[in-house]
Amino acid sequence: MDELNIRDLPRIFFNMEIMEGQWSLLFSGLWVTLEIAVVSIVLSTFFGLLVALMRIGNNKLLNALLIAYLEFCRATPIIVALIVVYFGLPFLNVTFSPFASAVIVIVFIHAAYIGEAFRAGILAISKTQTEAARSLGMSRLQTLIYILIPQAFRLVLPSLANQWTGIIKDTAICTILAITELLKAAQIISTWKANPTPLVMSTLLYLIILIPLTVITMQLEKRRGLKK
Amino acid sequence: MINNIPQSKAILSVVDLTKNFGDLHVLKGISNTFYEGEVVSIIGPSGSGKSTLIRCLNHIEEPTSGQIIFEGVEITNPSTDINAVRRDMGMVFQNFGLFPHLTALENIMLAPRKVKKQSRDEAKNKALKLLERVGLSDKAENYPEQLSGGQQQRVAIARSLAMQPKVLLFDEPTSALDPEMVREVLDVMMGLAKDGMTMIVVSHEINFIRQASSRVLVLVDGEIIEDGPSEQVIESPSHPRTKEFLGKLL
Ligand SMILES: Nc1ncnc2c1ncn2[C@@H]1O[C@H](COP(=O)(O)OP(=O)(O)OP(=O)(O)O)[C@@H](O)[C@H]1O
Ligand SMILES: [Mg+2]
Repeated sequence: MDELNIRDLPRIFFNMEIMEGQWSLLFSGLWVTLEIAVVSIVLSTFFGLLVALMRIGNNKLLNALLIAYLEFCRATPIIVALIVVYFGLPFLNVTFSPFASAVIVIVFIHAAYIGEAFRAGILAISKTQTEAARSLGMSRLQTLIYILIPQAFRLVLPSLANQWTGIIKDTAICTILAITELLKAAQIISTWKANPTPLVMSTLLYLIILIPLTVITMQLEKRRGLKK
Repeated sequence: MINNIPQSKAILSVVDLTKNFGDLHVLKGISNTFYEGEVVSIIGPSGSGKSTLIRCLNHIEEPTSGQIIFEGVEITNPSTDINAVRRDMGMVFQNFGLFPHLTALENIMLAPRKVKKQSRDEAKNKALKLLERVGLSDKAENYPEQLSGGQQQRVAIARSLAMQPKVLLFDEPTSALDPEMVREVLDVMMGLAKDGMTMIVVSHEINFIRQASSRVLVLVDGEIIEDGPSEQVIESPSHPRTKEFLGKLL
């Protein structure tokens, strides 16, 4: 093998000739990643809220189940969960498409974390808020919908944005599936061209999506810090 | 004294009400009747159970035993629709309890819209009139955190009024306020008293009691030890504990 020279690095990692004619595959991969991410973010936020509402309902049995669920999610590597769902469940004649498998696993795991965030948010709201709403004749459900949930959203937005960032990153687990999302597309091109430039380009694309989100999160956290 | 009409219609009756928190007996058998148009002040030392009592009246706190009858409906009966009862009973809290994510106007409009199903325009028109009544027409679009304590409390009163309650309950509405803001809230409350609103007020504001309140209840250790016309209770209390307490207050 030739001696590696530092001047070769651009040719190896940023070789734009390699990328010629390949951008469309990379961008269609990016599109799939975004689809999985958006669907997962919406669903895990929704189910997370549901988990939180069930938790604060204070039903003993339900609470025990939900705590077990949370611990399970904390202890299970997400890629293991994905392998079980995609490669394991078919043995029970339960088969999901790669897209559905990815969404199911991401939502299952992240709804637990988002549920914890929402629960903390709702519990942080002063009891007087509920009392004021109820004393105006609002029902439990109306109090939740018009008073508690909107305030909880504001309180947990920073940690929510954090979770959403995590979800986008976790879409990369799909490389083990028969689905060409961003990282898989980069891998395919990289293998075919025998050059790592596509992988570098995919990294840059992840950063372009994620950096604005992390900056917004930071600012939300700062703003909340100022207010309290 | 603005009104002194105890012989009008009974609106709210409390019969042998008790409340325990675990082993702590906070209310030890309270009985009383409140009449339409009355302004009743409840006074008593800290920890005597004033907040607990007033919170039991609209069932924000669940009594341990006893009955509360509001307009002929026993609200302590589990089959009573408590939301329907609360529509007619306003409550004003020590810490205002405004909804921080809504503007002053939206705070007032929310319950009429969602509970009474008023249209947006109807609720808005009424809310604007109420803001005018509490002297805050220019604050309609402000969020609670942009308002002073006194302004927040006046919005909270307007919010209660928007449901057109038959009784208004107050739990120390001015005790979280800076002294210079107490007056503006008391003025609103006195205006309500003058308009004939039935009010039950936990408050130690002696000026309010003298000028607006028709009757005073003295609560000590979970029992009403004195119940009489404001002047009489304030000027010539009969119970030694009342004398002692008023001595500290005046
Ligand atoms: N949720 C609760 N759990 C346990 N104890 C309580 C609860 N609420 C009130 N208490 C106790 O009940 C007693 C009466 O409280 P309450 O708030 O009714 O008194 P208060 O007369 O309103 O006093 P203050 O003038 O300080 O507001 C106090 O000893 C208080 O610690
Ligand atoms: Mg109190």
